Amino acid sequence: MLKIMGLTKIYGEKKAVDDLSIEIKSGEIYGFIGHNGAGKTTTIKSCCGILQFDAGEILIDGTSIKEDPIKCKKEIAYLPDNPDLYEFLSGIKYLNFIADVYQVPQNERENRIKKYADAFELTSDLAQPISAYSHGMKQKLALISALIHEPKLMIMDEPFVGLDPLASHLLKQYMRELCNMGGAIFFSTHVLEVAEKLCDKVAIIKQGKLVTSGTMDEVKGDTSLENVFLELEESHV
Amino acid sequence: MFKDLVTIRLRSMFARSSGSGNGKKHKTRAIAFIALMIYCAGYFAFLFGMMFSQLCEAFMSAGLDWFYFAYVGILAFLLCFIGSVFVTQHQVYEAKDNELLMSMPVPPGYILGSRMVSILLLNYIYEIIVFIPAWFVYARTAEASVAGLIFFIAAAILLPLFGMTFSVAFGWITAAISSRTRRKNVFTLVITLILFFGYMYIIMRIQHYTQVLIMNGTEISAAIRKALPPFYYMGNSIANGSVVEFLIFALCCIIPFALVYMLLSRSFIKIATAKRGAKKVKYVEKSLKTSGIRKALIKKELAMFAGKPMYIFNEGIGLIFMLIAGIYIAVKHDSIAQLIGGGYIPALVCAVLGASAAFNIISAPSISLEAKTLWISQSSPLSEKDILLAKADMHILVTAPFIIVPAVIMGIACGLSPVEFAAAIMFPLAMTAFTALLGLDVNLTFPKLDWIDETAAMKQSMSVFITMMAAMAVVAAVFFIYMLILDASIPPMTYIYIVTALLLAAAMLLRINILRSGVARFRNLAS
Repeated sequence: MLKIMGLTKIYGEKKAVDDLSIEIKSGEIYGFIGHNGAGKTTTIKSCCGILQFDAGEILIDGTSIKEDPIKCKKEIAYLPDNPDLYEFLSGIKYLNFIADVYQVPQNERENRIKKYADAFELTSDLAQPISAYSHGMKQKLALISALIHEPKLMIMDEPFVGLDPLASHLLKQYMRELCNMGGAIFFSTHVLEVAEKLCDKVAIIKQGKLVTSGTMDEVKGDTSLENVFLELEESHV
Repeated sequence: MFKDLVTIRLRSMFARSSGSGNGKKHKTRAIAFIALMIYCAGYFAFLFGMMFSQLCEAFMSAGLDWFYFAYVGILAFLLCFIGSVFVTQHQVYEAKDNELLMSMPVPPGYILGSRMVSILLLNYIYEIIVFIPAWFVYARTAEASVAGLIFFIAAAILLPLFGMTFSVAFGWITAAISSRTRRKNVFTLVITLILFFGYMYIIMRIQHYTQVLIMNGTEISAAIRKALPPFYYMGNSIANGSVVEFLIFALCCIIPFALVYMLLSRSFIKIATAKRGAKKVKYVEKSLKTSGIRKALIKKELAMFAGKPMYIFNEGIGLIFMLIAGIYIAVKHDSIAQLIGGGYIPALVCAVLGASAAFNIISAPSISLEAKTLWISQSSPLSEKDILLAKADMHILVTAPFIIVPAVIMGIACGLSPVEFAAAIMFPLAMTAFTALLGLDVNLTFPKLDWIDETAAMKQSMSVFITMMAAMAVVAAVFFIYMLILDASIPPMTYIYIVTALLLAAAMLLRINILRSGVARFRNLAS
């Protein structure tokens, strides 16, 4: 579903991502772990076509993001770490705009908005301007907008930050549902317990380079993901 | 600590205008921006100088020297007040870093004070535009004394404090009212327009007021002393070198400022954290309207424009000019025809609408305003072409009714022929297309994405300045080429059609440039 091959992104003289290769298959929840500034967000933004990269290739369901970005983006949903949305729109107008962008048919968009807004307990607030939303409400709205076109691949940057326990639980449930339907999830997180419980596979990145990757069992073995992460951090100092 | 807060404030003010960063490119941009600012300030100072040169002699010969300075003071005060009242609202009461600073061990008075210093600096800039030409005109017309100059400079230092007192107090009132109002944007826009047109009205009626004043000098002098004592004392101290009157003026400026500062610094936390909020609107499920991608993008751009009063006021002021000019010409076309000759009325209609269209620079900050939300369009399955052209299209679509309606009103009232009527629509539309694409292209070259307060993108960014100056330069060039180079040797309608064709050709070239290099520039913007 997502194939990153030799991804390299340079800012000035600094290599933010250095020859990174990862493959995420259909049905997989793939966690992406690393310290602050390791290159997670740069990788994620490159996968979504937001950042232009210097070398390598990214394939979404077999299509190059460089060569046919629009086709790729139709299959993706991206959720940034900080949900800055169009504050001049109301929640419902924002969702309708996103549905227009993805050309979601009227009935489907109405049903999905109802389903997800009810689940995330946001329905009564949809007429409010986004500027009046709290951080958590914006995060929920961004999540609904990400789910509205039923993406094949969800790419998320720290998706659990700002969500209440119920919303976090729902998100995990939707992530699993999407994968069960043949989709895939690629997300970054600092919450290692969540990654350990939720992910099928995990990759650890440090200073732009892949340190380790594989199934959760392969990576953590008999110990915890936290221990593995800390050991890897220390051994690469 | 206070010094650090002020330094940070001033740095952000400068950086948000000229763009942040280091290196040659940034320095060149900063120098270009400063040069542009100086040019704009010089232009407006020149206009004020022209106005003062008419007034100064009349006041001097009527023995009303003091009123000349009082009048200069009133103009500077109004300019400072109108120019900074909404900046005050955004920077003092609604600044996004208020909560962050208040969570730190920083006295609230320091936070308030540092913001007031930056606004004070802005007021000094506005004031200089009025004060410098005022003194030059005075020195040329009358015998200026050294004492007068000293008091004039001292008054220049103190007067913005007086303006600040009012803008901070008024900003607080408007922030309090608008936060309780459901139609916050409409409220802010209406207040802004009332202030702006009130100021314009005073300036336009200046000759009338001058005559009234000269004829009734004594009565008005007494009235001003009673109603506007600070300006009375300011004028008298400069004209007569009176120390006592200057001290009274100084106290008039300092005491209210100190009182407002003390009052606000004590209640700053309460004011800045108050969650007033309008009544919550509950969502009622209804059928959603679907749109094509291009239409959805245009609707989004339109919502952004309509949702920001500052955006409408700063970038769409030409829309209001068009309506006012249209009604004015329609009503007064007979007396205008007597003044300029009936044959020139159709050309005047085209010129007024065309020049007003050039004042609309809606597309100029449209990319900068996306800033942190740029990820939405960049991660969505949208072509850069659609994203960019939707911004220019919205500019044109918003402007078109404001061209067509006044053109129809003036066309009927002035009896324009079909050819003249077509020109009255085509020329301003061509100017609009040109300005829309120019603003977009310039904004792609000079995007301002790291703003904290969106007024920086709308009021103080390089793309807005360049587009505004370029559009005004085009209007001036069209006029002067006809009057000076062509010496009005070809029929005005022929000239307007030629200019229309040239503007459309320029718009086409800009469109091609946007689709070729602009798309790549947009792709490389990092949100």
